[in-house]
Amino acid sequence: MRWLMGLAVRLYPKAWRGRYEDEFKALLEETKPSWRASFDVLKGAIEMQLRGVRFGKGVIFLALGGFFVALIPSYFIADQYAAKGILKIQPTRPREGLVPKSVVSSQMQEWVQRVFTNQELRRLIEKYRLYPEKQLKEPMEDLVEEMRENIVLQPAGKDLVLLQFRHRDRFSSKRVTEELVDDLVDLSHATTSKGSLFDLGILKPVRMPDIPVYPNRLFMALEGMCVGVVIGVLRAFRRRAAVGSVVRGSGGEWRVD
Amino acid sequence: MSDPTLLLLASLADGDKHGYAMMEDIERFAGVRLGPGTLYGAITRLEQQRWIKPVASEDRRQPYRITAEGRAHLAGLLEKLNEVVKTGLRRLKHA
Repeated sequence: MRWLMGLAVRLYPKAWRGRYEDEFKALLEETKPSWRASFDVLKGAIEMQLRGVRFGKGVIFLALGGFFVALIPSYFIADQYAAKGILKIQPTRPREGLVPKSVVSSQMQEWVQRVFTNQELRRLIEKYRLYPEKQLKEPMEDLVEEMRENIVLQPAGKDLVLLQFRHRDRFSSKRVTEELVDDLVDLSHATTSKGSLFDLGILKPVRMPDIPVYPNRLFMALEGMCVGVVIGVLRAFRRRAAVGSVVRGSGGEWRVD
Repeated sequence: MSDPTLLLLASLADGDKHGYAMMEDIERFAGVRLGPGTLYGAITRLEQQRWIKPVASEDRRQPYRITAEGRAHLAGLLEKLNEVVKTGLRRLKHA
């Protein structure tokens, strides 16, 4: 237990230790070691670390500064919209019960590979002129890859699948998502006739997205604010360390300024 | 009655003491065992207020002495406390 108290002493500010460490250690040597005493030493270290730290205006100013510094540039980032379609997995032979997850997974994988081909994505890029500026500078393969990264296909609850496409133009987002949904549904119907255990139906048709999904300006501003608070707190501690020096006064007395 | 400032000043009122002696004395007259961190937190504050001051010592254990300002402050605290005690006792009698 004594080692714990010794460790806690090291957590006191350097200036404080310069003035009191020796006599404080002498006191600890006489004190019966216990959890309570160790906790008390630790509590004292925290108190001394916080002593003289003025968080007040500096932290508030930096927090507000961080908030606006992060918020203002976020308005220069183009909005991105994500149109969504919800598909329902429908068993083609309801009497046989639920379709096993593994079957759904492998079948979906096959359909995705057949629908989201590079050729199909390239067709959509050209049809809707999705990336007109980049198209002049970057190879089509890169644009296809970018488009693929903006497509989300994932489970959305029991027997439901979410399909969405993110784009800065909400009309393009809606139209492309509609095409992808239709392609997937058509393919599933075609496969059903060949013996597939389920097909896909449209549960919720694709709607025009109203609110951009990116950038989340409030989140970015709050991130900036947090950074401001951290800088403010570190600054307050630094200032305290610079001000809280220990000097030896006249007459052999100690003064803590 | 657990205010370390009051307890520490009261302990030093009858003579110089080092940290451990103060802990023992306070426990004896107030029934409160101050932890080492609490005690030295109070010593730091009181020394900064110039209500106590260290006195020369050959030992690693540093004795402290109450200053004139410290005595005046203690007297003020005790007067207030006395008022509270008197008021409390008077009200208990009339209740």
